[in-house]
Amino acid sequence: MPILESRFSVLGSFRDESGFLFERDGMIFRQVNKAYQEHYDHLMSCGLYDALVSAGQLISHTQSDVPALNSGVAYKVIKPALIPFISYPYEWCFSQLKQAALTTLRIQKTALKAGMTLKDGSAYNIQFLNGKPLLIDTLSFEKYRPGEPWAAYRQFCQHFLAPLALMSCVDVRLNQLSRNYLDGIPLDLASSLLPVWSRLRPALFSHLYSHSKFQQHYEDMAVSQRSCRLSRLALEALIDNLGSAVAGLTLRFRRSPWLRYYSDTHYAPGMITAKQELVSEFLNRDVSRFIYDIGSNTGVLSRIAGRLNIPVVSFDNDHAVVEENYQACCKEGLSSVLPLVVDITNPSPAAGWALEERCAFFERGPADTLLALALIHHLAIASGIPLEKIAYLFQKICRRALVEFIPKSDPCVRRLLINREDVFSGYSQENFEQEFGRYFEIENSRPVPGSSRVVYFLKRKQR
Amino acid sequence: MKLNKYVLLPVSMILLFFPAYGYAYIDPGAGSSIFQVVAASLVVGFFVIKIAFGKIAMYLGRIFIRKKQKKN
Repeated sequence: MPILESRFSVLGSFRDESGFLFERDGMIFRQVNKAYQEHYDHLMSCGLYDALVSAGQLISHTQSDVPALNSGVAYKVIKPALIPFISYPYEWCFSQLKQAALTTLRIQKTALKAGMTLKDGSAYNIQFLNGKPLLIDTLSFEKYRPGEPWAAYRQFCQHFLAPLALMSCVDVRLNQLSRNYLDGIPLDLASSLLPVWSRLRPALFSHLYSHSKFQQHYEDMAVSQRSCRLSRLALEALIDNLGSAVAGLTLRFRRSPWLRYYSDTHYAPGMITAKQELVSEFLNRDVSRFIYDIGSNTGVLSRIAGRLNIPVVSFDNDHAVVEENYQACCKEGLSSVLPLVVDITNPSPAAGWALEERCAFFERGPADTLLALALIHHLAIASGIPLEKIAYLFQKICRRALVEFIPKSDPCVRRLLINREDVFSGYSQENFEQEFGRYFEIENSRPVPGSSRVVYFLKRKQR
Repeated sequence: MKLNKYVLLPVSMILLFFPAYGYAYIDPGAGSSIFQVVAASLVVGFFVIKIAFGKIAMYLGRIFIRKKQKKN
Protein backbone atom coordinates (compact mmCIF):
# COMPACT_ATOMS: atom_id res chain seq x y z
CA MET A 1 0.00 0.00 0.00
CA PRO A 2 1.58 3.29 -0.96
CA ILE A 3 2.26 5.83 1.69
CA LEU A 4 1.55 9.27 0.33
CA GLU A 5 1.26 12.78 1.65
CA SER A 6 -0.49 12.42 5.01
CA ARG A 7 -2.05 15.89 5.03
CA PHE A 8 -4.26 14.98 2.11
CA SER A 9 -6.58 12.23 1.09
CA VAL A 10 -4.84 9.47 -0.80
CA LEU A 11 -5.34 7.01 -3.61
CA GLY A 12 -7.55 9.17 -5.77
CA SER A 13 -10.38 9.29 -3.26
CA PHE A 14 -10.54 13.09 -2.99
CA ARG A 15 -13.32 13.53 -5.55
CA ASP A 16 -15.96 11.94 -3.32
CA GLU A 17 -17.87 14.19 -0.91
CA SER A 18 -18.94 11.15 1.13
CA GLY A 19 -15.45 10.65 2.52
CA PHE A 20 -11.87 9.84 1.61
CA LEU A 21 -8.90 7.66 2.41
CA PHE A 22 -5.97 8.98 4.37
CA GLU A 23 -2.73 7.59 5.68
CA ARG A 24 -1.51 7.77 9.26
CA ASP A 25 1.49 5.99 10.77
CA GLY A 26 1.80 3.84 7.69
CA MET A 27 -1.80 2.64 7.89
CA ILE A 28 -4.75 3.50 5.65
CA PHE A 29 -8.00 4.86 7.11
CA ARG A 30 -11.22 6.09 5.58
CA GLN A 31 -13.00 9.17 6.86
CA VAL A 32 -16.79 9.03 6.53
CA ASN A 33 -18.23 12.53 6.23
CA LYS A 34 -21.44 13.77 7.85
CA ALA A 35 -22.88 14.22 4.35
CA TYR A 36 -22.82 10.43 4.00
CA GLN A 37 -24.02 9.59 7.54
CA GLU A 38 -27.56 8.58 6.54
CA HIS A 39 -26.36 6.23 3.81
CA TYR A 40 -23.53 4.78 5.92
CA ASP A 41 -25.86 3.99 8.82
CA HIS A 42 -28.35 2.38 6.46
CA LEU A 43 -25.59 0.29 4.83
CA MET A 44 -24.48 -1.03 8.22
CA SER A 45 -27.97 -1.60 9.65
CA CYS A 46 -29.89 -3.04 6.69
CA GLY A 47 -27.73 -6.16 6.45
CA LEU A 48 -26.16 -5.24 3.10
CA TYR A 49 -22.66 -4.74 4.53
CA ASP A 50 -22.72 -8.13 6.28
CA ALA A 51 -24.16 -9.89 3.23
CA LEU A 52 -21.56 -8.45 0.85
CA VAL A 53 -18.60 -8.95 3.21
CA SER A 54 -19.55 -12.57 3.87
CA ALA A 55 -19.89 -13.12 0.11
CA GLY A 56 -16.35 -11.71 -0.33
CA GLN A 57 -17.67 -8.90 -2.53
CA LEU A 58 -17.04 -5.91 -0.25
CA ILE A 59 -13.97 -4.96 1.75
CA SER A 60 -14.45 -5.37 5.50
CA HIS A 61 -13.64 -2.61 7.94
CA THR A 62 -13.49 -1.86 11.64
CA GLN A 63 -14.35 1.31 13.54
CA SER A 64 -11.27 3.30 14.43
CA ASP A 65 -10.40 5.73 17.22
CA VAL A 66 -7.89 7.51 15.02
CA PRO A 67 -8.74 11.24 14.85
CA ALA A 68 -10.39 12.34 11.60
CA LEU A 69 -8.27 14.23 9.11
CA ASN A 70 -10.93 16.86 8.56
CA SER A 71 -12.89 16.76 11.83
CA GLY A 72 -15.31 19.57 10.89
CA VAL A 73 -17.12 17.40 8.37
CA ALA A 74 -16.26 13.97 9.77
CA TYR A 75 -18.83 11.49 10.99
CA LYS A 76 -16.63 8.44 11.57
CA VAL A 77 -13.23 6.99 10.81
CA ILE A 78 -13.04 3.38 9.69
CA LYS A 79 -10.07 1.15 9.01
CA PRO A 80 -10.52 -0.97 5.89
CA ALA A 81 -8.83 -4.36 5.51
CA LEU A 82 -5.44 -4.18 3.83
CA ILE A 83 -5.14 -4.93 0.13
CA PRO A 84 -1.61 -6.30 -0.40
CA PHE A 85 -1.21 -4.78 -3.84
CA ILE A 86 -3.31 -2.17 -5.63
CA SER A 87 -3.74 -2.94 -9.34
CA TYR A 88 -5.52 -0.96 -12.02
CA PRO A 89 -7.91 -2.05 -14.81
CA TYR A 90 -5.36 -1.40 -17.55
CA GLU A 91 -3.13 -3.98 -15.88
CA TRP A 92 -5.78 -6.68 -15.81
CA CYS A 93 -6.24 -9.41 -18.39
CA PHE A 94 -9.58 -9.88 -20.12
CA SER A 95 -10.95 -12.38 -17.60
CA GLN A 96 -9.97 -10.23 -14.63
CA LEU A 97 -11.81 -7.22 -16.09
CA LYS A 98 -14.80 -9.40 -16.93
CA GLN A 99 -14.94 -10.83 -13.40
CA ALA A 100 -14.65 -7.32 -11.96
CA ALA A 101 -17.59 -6.19 -14.15
CA LEU A 102 -19.77 -9.13 -13.16
CA THR A 103 -18.94 -8.59 -9.48
CA THR A 104 -20.00 -4.93 -9.76
CA LEU A 105 -23.35 -6.00 -11.24
CA ARG A 106 -23.85 -8.71 -8.59
CA ILE A 107 -23.22 -6.11 -5.88
CA GLN A 108 -25.74 -3.76 -7.50
CA LYS A 109 -28.36 -6.54 -7.57
CA THR A 110 -27.77 -7.34 -3.88
CA ALA A 111 -27.83 -3.64 -3.01
CA LEU A 112 -31.20 -3.16 -4.73
CA LYS A 113 -32.67 -6.00 -2.68
CA ALA A 114 -31.52 -4.15 0.46
CA GLY A 115 -32.96 -0.84 -0.71
CA MET A 116 -29.64 0.66 -1.75
CA THR A 117 -27.87 1.30 -5.03
CA LEU A 118 -24.31 1.77 -6.26
CA LYS A 119 -23.62 5.39 -7.11
CA ASP A 120 -20.29 4.53 -8.79
CA GLY A 121 -19.52 2.04 -11.51
CA SER A 122 -15.80 2.69 -11.48
CA ALA A 123 -13.42 -0.16 -12.23
CA TYR A 124 -10.93 1.48 -9.84
CA ASN A 125 -13.29 0.66 -6.97
CA ILE A 126 -12.58 -3.01 -7.58
CA GLN A 127 -9.41 -4.72 -6.38
CA PHE A 128 -8.28 -8.33 -6.30
CA LEU A 129 -7.98 -9.84 -2.84
CA ASN A 130 -7.28 -13.56 -2.41
CA GLY A 131 -7.68 -13.98 -6.13
CA LYS A 132 -11.21 -12.57 -6.23
CA PRO A 133 -12.52 -9.13 -7.20
CA LEU A 134 -14.10 -7.10 -4.42
CA LEU A 135 -15.42 -3.58 -3.97
CA ILE A 136 -13.05 -1.47 -1.90
CA ASP A 137 -15.13 1.70 -1.70
CA THR A 138 -17.48 1.30 1.27
CA LEU A 139 -18.97 4.71 0.52
CA SER A 140 -20.19 3.71 -2.95
CA PHE A 141 -23.72 2.94 -1.76
CA GLU A 142 -26.64 5.26 -1.32
CA LYS A 143 -30.30 4.72 -0.47
CA TYR A 144 -32.34 3.74 -3.51
CA ARG A 145 -35.09 6.22 -4.31
CA PRO A 146 -37.90 4.59 -6.32
CA GLY A 147 -38.00 5.80 -9.89
CA GLU A 148 -34.38 6.93 -10.05
CA PRO A 149 -32.25 5.62 -12.91
CA TRP A 150 -28.88 4.00 -12.16
CA ALA A 151 -26.42 6.85 -11.63
CA ALA A 152 -23.48 4.57 -12.38
CA TYR A 153 -24.78 3.35 -15.76
CA ARG A 154 -22.58 5.58 -17.93
CA GLN A 155 -19.52 4.89 -15.81
CA PHE A 156 -20.12 1.13 -15.93
CA CYS A 157 -20.37 1.23 -19.73
CA GLN A 158 -17.19 3.31 -20.04
CA HIS A 159 -15.13 1.46 -17.42
CA PHE A 160 -16.18 -2.10 -18.17
CA LEU A 161 -18.35 -2.74 -21.20
CA ALA A 162 -16.43 -0.56 -23.69
CA PRO A 163 -12.95 -1.96 -22.91
CA LEU A 164 -14.27 -5.52 -22.75
CA ALA A 165 -16.02 -5.12 -26.11
CA LEU A 166 -12.88 -3.64 -27.67
CA MET A 167 -10.71 -6.43 -26.26
CA SER A 168 -13.18 -9.06 -27.42
CA CYS A 169 -14.08 -7.70 -30.86
CA VAL A 170 -10.95 -5.81 -31.95
CA ASP A 171 -7.70 -6.44 -30.08
CA VAL A 172 -7.01 -7.42 -26.52
CA ARG A 173 -4.28 -4.77 -26.28
CA LEU A 174 -6.88 -2.01 -26.55
CA ASN A 175 -7.29 -2.35 -22.78
CA GLN A 176 -4.33 0.02 -22.66
CA LEU A 177 -6.70 2.82 -23.74
CA SER A 178 -7.94 2.85 -20.13
CA ARG A 179 -4.47 4.02 -19.11
CA ASN A 180 -5.15 7.29 -20.90
CA TYR A 181 -8.88 7.61 -20.23
CA LEU A 182 -9.07 7.33 -16.45
CA ASP A 183 -12.86 7.84 -16.41
CA GLY A 184 -13.35 5.01 -18.84
CA ILE A 185 -13.18 4.83 -22.61
CA PRO A 186 -15.50 7.46 -24.18
CA LEU A 187 -18.39 5.66 -25.85
CA ASP A 188 -18.05 7.56 -29.14
CA LEU A 189 -14.42 6.42 -29.34
CA ALA A 190 -15.34 2.83 -28.51
CA SER A 191 -18.11 2.92 -31.13
CA SER A 192 -15.78 4.21 -33.82
CA LEU A 193 -13.17 1.55 -33.06
CA LEU A 194 -15.54 -1.41 -32.93
CA PRO A 195 -16.08 -3.32 -36.20
CA VAL A 196 -19.38 -2.89 -38.04
CA TRP A 197 -20.37 -6.54 -37.39
CA SER A 198 -20.36 -5.91 -33.64
CA ARG A 199 -23.50 -3.77 -34.14
CA LEU A 200 -25.34 -7.01 -34.85
CA ARG A 201 -24.98 -7.87 -31.16
CA PRO A 202 -28.04 -6.24 -29.55
CA ALA A 203 -26.28 -5.54 -26.22
CA LEU A 204 -23.34 -3.75 -27.85
CA PHE A 205 -25.61 -1.95 -30.31
CA SER A 206 -27.69 -0.59 -27.46
CA HIS A 207 -25.29 0.03 -24.54
CA LEU A 208 -22.43 1.34 -26.68
CA TYR A 209 -23.58 2.60 -30.11
CA SER A 210 -27.05 3.90 -29.30
CA HIS A 211 -25.92 5.08 -25.86
CA SER A 212 -23.15 7.10 -27.53
CA LYS A 213 -25.64 8.64 -30.01
CA PHE A 214 -27.95 9.64 -27.15
CA GLN A 215 -25.02 11.24 -25.33
CA GLN A 216 -24.23 13.28 -28.43
CA HIS A 217 -27.84 14.23 -29.07
CA TYR A 218 -28.57 15.41 -25.53
CA GLU A 219 -25.13 16.81 -24.77
CA ASP A 220 -26.25 20.46 -24.71
CA MET A 221 -29.89 20.02 -23.72
CA ALA A 222 -31.47 20.47 -20.34
CA VAL A 223 -33.13 17.24 -19.32
CA SER A 224 -35.86 17.20 -16.68
CA GLN A 225 -35.69 14.54 -14.00
CA ARG A 226 -39.29 13.57 -14.79
CA SER A 227 -38.27 12.24 -18.19
CA CYS A 228 -35.73 9.92 -16.55
CA ARG A 229 -38.00 7.82 -14.34
CA LEU A 230 -37.27 4.13 -14.21
CA SER A 231 -39.29 1.50 -12.36
CA ARG A 232 -37.51 -0.91 -10.04
CA LEU A 233 -38.35 -3.82 -12.37
CA ALA A 234 -36.97 -1.93 -15.39
CA LEU A 235 -33.81 -1.13 -13.44
CA GLU A 236 -33.36 -4.79 -12.55
CA ALA A 237 -33.92 -5.67 -16.20
CA LEU A 238 -31.21 -3.19 -17.23
CA ILE A 239 -28.71 -4.66 -14.73
CA ASP A 240 -29.59 -8.17 -15.91
CA ASN A 241 -29.13 -7.14 -19.54
CA LEU A 242 -25.74 -5.59 -18.79
CA GLY A 243 -24.76 -8.84 -17.06
CA SER A 244 -25.73 -10.85 -20.15
CA ALA A 245 -23.80 -8.40 -22.35
CA VAL A 246 -20.64 -8.80 -20.26
CA ALA A 247 -21.01 -12.56 -19.89
CA GLY A 248 -21.44 -12.92 -23.67
CA LEU A 249 -18.09 -11.33 -24.43
CA THR A 250 -15.24 -13.76 -24.93
CA LEU A 251 -11.65 -13.62 -26.11
CA ARG A 252 -11.65 -14.65 -29.75
CA PHE A 253 -7.89 -14.92 -30.26
CA ARG A 254 -5.51 -16.30 -27.69
CA ARG A 255 -2.55 -17.02 -29.91
CA SER A 256 0.87 -15.96 -28.77
CA PRO A 257 4.35 -17.43 -29.33
CA TRP A 258 4.93 -17.02 -25.58
CA LEU A 259 2.15 -19.47 -24.72
CA ARG A 260 4.33 -22.40 -25.81
CA TYR A 261 7.53 -21.02 -24.32
CA TYR A 262 8.21 -23.91 -21.98
CA SER A 263 7.24 -26.59 -24.49
CA ASP A 264 9.35 -25.02 -27.23
CA THR A 265 12.30 -26.99 -28.51
CA HIS A 266 14.95 -24.71 -27.01
CA TYR A 267 14.10 -26.00 -23.53
CA ALA A 268 15.97 -29.26 -22.90
CA PRO A 269 14.04 -31.99 -21.08
CA GLY A 270 14.26 -31.51 -17.34
CA MET A 271 15.35 -27.87 -17.61
CA ILE A 272 12.10 -26.41 -16.34
CA THR A 273 12.07 -28.92 -13.46
CA ALA A 274 15.60 -27.86 -12.55
CA LYS A 275 14.52 -24.22 -12.56
CA GLN A 276 11.52 -25.00 -10.36
CA GLU A 277 13.85 -26.70 -7.88
CA LEU A 278 16.16 -23.67 -7.90
CA VAL A 279 13.22 -21.35 -7.19
CA SER A 280 12.08 -23.55 -4.29
CA GLU A 281 15.62 -23.63 -2.90
CA PHE A 282 15.92 -19.84 -3.19
CA LEU A 283 12.58 -19.21 -1.48
CA ASN A 284 13.40 -21.60 1.34
CA ARG A 285 16.73 -19.85 2.11
CA ASP A 286 15.16 -16.71 3.54
CA VAL A 287 11.78 -15.20 4.42
CA SER A 288 9.96 -13.55 1.52
CA ARG A 289 7.06 -11.27 2.34
CA PHE A 290 6.14 -10.20 -1.16
CA ILE A 291 7.44 -11.28 -4.55
CA TYR A 292 7.61 -9.73 -8.00
CA ASP A 293 7.92 -12.32 -10.74
CA ILE A 294 9.03 -10.24 -13.73
CA GLY A 295 8.42 -11.69 -17.18
CA SER A 296 6.47 -14.46 -15.51
CA ASN A 297 5.10 -15.99 -18.73
CA THR A 298 2.28 -18.38 -17.76
CA GLY A 299 3.26 -18.17 -14.09
CA VAL A 300 4.74 -21.67 -13.69
CA LEU A 301 7.41 -20.32 -11.31
CA SER A 302 5.12 -17.78 -9.60
CA ARG A 303 2.84 -20.58 -8.54
CA ILE A 304 5.69 -22.26 -6.62
CA ALA A 305 5.75 -19.19 -4.37
CA GLY A 306 1.95 -19.03 -4.43
CA ARG A 307 1.76 -22.57 -3.04
CA LEU A 308 3.92 -21.39 -0.13
CA ASN A 309 1.27 -18.71 0.49
CA ILE A 310 3.67 -15.89 -0.32
CA PRO A 311 1.92 -12.99 -2.10
CA VAL A 312 3.22 -12.75 -5.67
CA VAL A 313 2.64 -10.10 -8.30
CA SER A 314 3.30 -12.10 -11.43
CA PHE A 315 3.59 -9.86 -14.47
CA ASP A 316 4.36 -10.06 -18.14
CA ASN A 317 3.76 -7.80 -21.13
CA ASP A 318 2.02 -10.50 -23.17
CA HIS A 319 -1.72 -10.55 -22.66
CA ALA A 320 -2.23 -14.18 -23.69
CA VAL A 321 0.21 -15.59 -21.12
CA VAL A 322 -1.24 -13.43 -18.33
CA GLU A 323 -4.69 -14.71 -19.25
CA GLU A 324 -3.34 -18.27 -19.09
CA ASN A 325 -1.67 -17.51 -15.76
CA TYR A 326 -4.93 -16.12 -14.30
CA GLN A 327 -6.94 -19.14 -15.52
CA ALA A 328 -4.37 -21.53 -14.04
CA CYS A 329 -4.43 -19.72 -10.67
CA CYS A 330 -8.25 -19.83 -10.61
CA LYS A 331 -8.23 -23.52 -11.52
CA GLU A 332 -5.71 -24.36 -8.81
CA GLY A 333 -7.39 -22.04 -6.29
CA LEU A 334 -4.15 -20.11 -5.74
CA SER A 335 -5.23 -16.91 -4.11
CA SER A 336 -1.85 -15.36 -3.35
CA VAL A 337 -0.78 -14.92 -7.00
CA LEU A 338 -1.92 -11.77 -8.79
CA PRO A 339 -1.19 -11.99 -12.53
CA LEU A 340 -0.96 -8.60 -14.28
CA VAL A 341 -0.25 -7.27 -17.76
CA VAL A 342 2.72 -4.97 -17.19
CA ASP A 343 5.67 -4.25 -19.44
CA ILE A 344 8.82 -3.97 -17.32
CA THR A 345 10.35 -1.69 -19.97
CA ASN A 346 7.38 0.68 -19.68
CA PRO A 347 5.55 0.04 -16.39
CA SER A 348 2.33 1.91 -15.53
CA PRO A 349 3.17 5.52 -14.66
CA ALA A 350 1.55 7.75 -12.06
CA ALA A 351 -1.60 9.32 -13.49
CA GLY A 352 -4.52 11.63 -12.82
CA TRP A 353 -4.69 14.93 -10.98
CA ALA A 354 -1.22 16.13 -9.95
CA LEU A 355 -0.07 12.60 -10.86
CA GLU A 356 -1.39 11.50 -7.46
CA GLU A 357 -4.66 9.77 -8.29
CA ARG A 358 -3.08 6.60 -9.64
CA CYS A 359 0.30 5.48 -8.38
CA ALA A 360 3.14 4.33 -10.60
CA PHE A 361 3.56 0.56 -10.65
CA PHE A 362 6.67 0.27 -8.50
CA GLU A 363 5.39 2.85 -5.97
CA ARG A 364 2.61 0.47 -5.00
CA GLY A 365 4.58 -2.58 -4.07
CA PRO A 366 6.20 -3.57 -0.84
CA ALA A 367 8.05 -6.39 -2.67
CA ASP A 368 11.20 -7.66 -1.06
CA THR A 369 11.97 -10.53 -3.40
CA LEU A 370 12.31 -10.64 -7.14
CA LEU A 371 12.30 -13.49 -9.63
CA ALA A 372 13.77 -12.70 -13.04
CA LEU A 373 14.25 -15.95 -14.90
CA ALA A 374 14.78 -16.06 -18.66
CA LEU A 375 14.37 -12.30 -18.75
CA ILE A 376 17.74 -10.53 -18.79
CA HIS A 377 18.53 -11.42 -22.44
CA HIS A 378 15.19 -9.95 -23.57
CA LEU A 379 15.88 -6.71 -21.70
CA ALA A 380 19.53 -6.43 -22.74
CA ILE A 381 19.29 -7.58 -26.36
CA ALA A 382 15.67 -7.24 -27.54
CA SER A 383 15.07 -3.96 -25.66
CA GLY A 384 18.65 -2.71 -25.64
CA ILE A 385 18.78 -1.90 -21.92
CA PRO A 386 22.35 -2.02 -20.54
CA LEU A 387 23.06 -4.49 -17.71
CA GLU A 388 24.01 -1.52 -15.55
CA LYS A 389 20.48 -0.08 -15.84
CA ILE A 390 18.86 -3.46 -15.17
CA ALA A 391 20.93 -3.96 -12.01
CA TYR A 392 20.08 -0.42 -10.86
CA LEU A 393 16.32 -0.99 -11.23
CA PHE A 394 16.41 -4.38 -9.52
CA GLN A 395 18.23 -3.03 -6.44
CA LYS A 396 15.59 -0.29 -6.18
CA ILE A 397 12.63 -2.65 -6.08
CA CYS A 398 13.82 -5.64 -4.05
CA ARG A 399 16.01 -6.84 -1.20
CA ARG A 400 16.97 -10.14 -2.78
CA ALA A 401 16.66 -11.58 -6.24
CA LEU A 402 16.92 -14.76 -8.24
CA VAL A 403 18.26 -13.80 -11.67
CA GLU A 404 19.08 -16.05 -14.59
CA PHE A 405 21.88 -15.11 -16.95
CA ILE A 406 21.66 -16.57 -20.44
CA PRO A 407 24.89 -16.31 -22.46
CA LYS A 408 25.14 -15.53 -26.16
CA SER A 409 25.87 -19.19 -26.91
CA ASP A 410 22.35 -20.16 -25.75
CA PRO A 411 19.87 -20.99 -28.57
CA CYS A 412 17.41 -18.39 -27.23
CA VAL A 413 19.95 -15.58 -27.46
CA ARG A 414 21.17 -16.81 -30.84
CA ARG A 415 17.58 -16.61 -32.04
CA LEU A 416 17.32 -13.01 -30.75
CA LEU A 417 20.48 -12.13 -32.69
CA ILE A 418 19.47 -13.76 -36.01
CA ASN A 419 18.24 -10.52 -37.56
CA ARG A 420 20.16 -8.10 -35.37
CA GLU A 421 23.67 -6.83 -35.60
CA ASP A 422 25.49 -7.94 -32.47
CA VAL A 423 26.26 -4.57 -30.93
CA PHE A 424 25.90 -5.95 -27.42
CA SER A 425 29.56 -6.31 -26.53
CA GLY A 426 28.75 -5.53 -22.90
CA TYR A 427 26.46 -8.55 -22.65
CA SER A 428 28.68 -11.12 -20.97
CA GLN A 429 28.67 -13.13 -17.77
CA GLU A 430 31.69 -11.19 -16.44
CA ASN A 431 29.93 -7.88 -17.06
CA PHE A 432 26.73 -9.21 -15.50
CA GLU A 433 28.60 -10.18 -12.32
CA GLN A 434 30.38 -6.83 -12.26
CA GLU A 435 27.26 -4.68 -12.72
CA PHE A 436 25.05 -6.66 -10.34
CA GLY A 437 27.98 -6.93 -7.92
CA ARG A 438 27.81 -3.15 -7.43
CA TYR A 439 24.50 -3.45 -5.65
CA PHE A 440 24.17 -7.11 -4.70
CA GLU A 441 26.20 -9.75 -2.93
CA ILE A 442 26.28 -12.90 -5.04
CA GLU A 443 25.33 -15.52 -2.47
CA ASN A 444 25.34 -18.39 -4.89
CA SER A 445 25.47 -19.12 -8.60
CA ARG A 446 24.15 -22.37 -9.99
CA PRO A 447 24.24 -23.72 -13.54
CA VAL A 448 20.95 -24.80 -15.07
CA PRO A 449 21.41 -28.47 -16.02
CA GLY A 450 21.32 -29.16 -19.75
CA SER A 451 22.27 -25.58 -20.68
CA SER A 452 24.96 -22.93 -20.43
CA ARG A 453 22.70 -20.73 -18.29
CA VAL A 454 23.52 -19.66 -14.75
CA VAL A 455 21.10 -18.70 -11.99
CA TYR A 456 22.32 -16.19 -9.41
CA PHE A 457 21.10 -15.90 -5.82
CA LEU A 458 21.51 -12.19 -5.06
CA LYS A 459 21.20 -10.25 -1.82
CA ARG A 460 21.19 -6.44 -1.85
CA LYS A 461 24.17 -4.84 -0.14
CA GLN A 462 23.54 -2.65 2.89
CA ARG A 463 23.02 0.96 1.82
CA MET B 1 2.01 22.25 -54.07
CA LYS B 2 -1.10 22.60 -56.24
CA LEU B 3 -3.06 20.55 -53.77
CA ASN B 4 -2.01 22.80 -50.92
CA LYS B 5 -2.88 25.96 -52.77
CA TYR B 6 -6.20 25.04 -54.27
CA VAL B 7 -7.68 22.57 -51.83
CA LEU B 8 -6.24 22.82 -48.33
CA LEU B 9 -6.33 26.61 -48.05
CA PRO B 10 -10.04 27.01 -48.93
CA VAL B 11 -10.94 24.05 -46.71
CA SER B 12 -9.02 25.61 -43.80
CA MET B 13 -10.80 28.94 -44.35
CA ILE B 14 -14.19 27.24 -44.31
CA LEU B 15 -13.27 25.42 -41.11
CA LEU B 16 -12.17 28.72 -39.57
CA PHE B 17 -15.52 30.34 -40.29
CA PHE B 18 -17.53 27.28 -39.27
CA PRO B 19 -15.81 25.99 -36.16
CA ALA B 20 -16.71 22.67 -34.61
CA TYR B 21 -18.59 22.68 -31.30
CA GLY B 22 -16.57 22.99 -28.10
CA TYR B 23 -17.38 20.26 -25.58
CA ALA B 24 -16.03 21.84 -22.41
CA TYR B 25 -19.45 22.45 -20.82
CA ILE B 26 -21.08 19.30 -22.03
CA ASP B 27 -22.41 16.71 -19.63
CA PRO B 28 -22.67 13.28 -21.24
CA GLY B 29 -24.73 12.13 -18.23
CA ALA B 30 -28.00 13.59 -19.54
CA GLY B 31 -28.05 11.41 -22.65
CA SER B 32 -27.02 8.41 -20.56
CA SER B 33 -29.93 8.90 -18.14
CA ILE B 34 -32.46 9.17 -20.96
CA PHE B 35 -30.95 6.28 -22.86
CA GLN B 36 -31.04 3.92 -19.90
CA VAL B 37 -34.79 4.58 -19.57
CA VAL B 38 -35.21 3.64 -23.24
CA ALA B 39 -32.90 0.61 -22.99
CA ALA B 40 -34.52 -0.64 -19.78
CA SER B 41 -38.01 -0.27 -21.31
CA LEU B 42 -36.90 -2.39 -24.25
CA VAL B 43 -35.47 -5.22 -22.17
CA VAL B 44 -37.97 -5.32 -19.31
CA GLY B 45 -40.36 -7.61 -21.23
CA PHE B 46 -37.59 -10.16 -21.89
CA PHE B 47 -36.58 -9.92 -18.24
CA VAL B 48 -40.10 -10.73 -17.04
CA ILE B 49 -40.26 -13.72 -19.41
CA LYS B 50 -36.81 -14.85 -18.23
CA ILE B 51 -37.88 -14.71 -14.57
CA ALA B 52 -41.12 -16.54 -15.36
CA PHE B 53 -39.23 -19.29 -17.23
CA GLY B 54 -36.78 -19.55 -14.35
CA LYS B 55 -39.61 -20.03 -11.87
CA ILE B 56 -41.36 -22.60 -14.08
CA ALA B 57 -38.06 -24.48 -14.52
CA MET B 58 -37.49 -24.43 -10.77
CA TYR B 59 -41.04 -25.68 -10.13
CA LEU B 60 -40.67 -28.51 -12.68
CA GLY B 61 -37.26 -29.34 -11.26
CA ARG B 62 -38.70 -29.74 -7.77
CA ILE B 63 -41.46 -32.04 -9.09
CA PHE B 64 -38.85 -34.10 -10.95
CA ILE B 65 -36.66 -34.41 -7.85
CA ARG B 66 -39.64 -35.40 -5.68
CA LYS B 67 -40.64 -38.11 -8.17
CA LYS B 68 -37.08 -39.40 -8.25
CA GLN B 69 -36.91 -39.46 -4.46
CA LYS B 70 -40.21 -41.35 -4.30
CA LYS B 71 -38.89 -43.92 -6.77
CA ASN B 72 -35.74 -44.40 -4.71
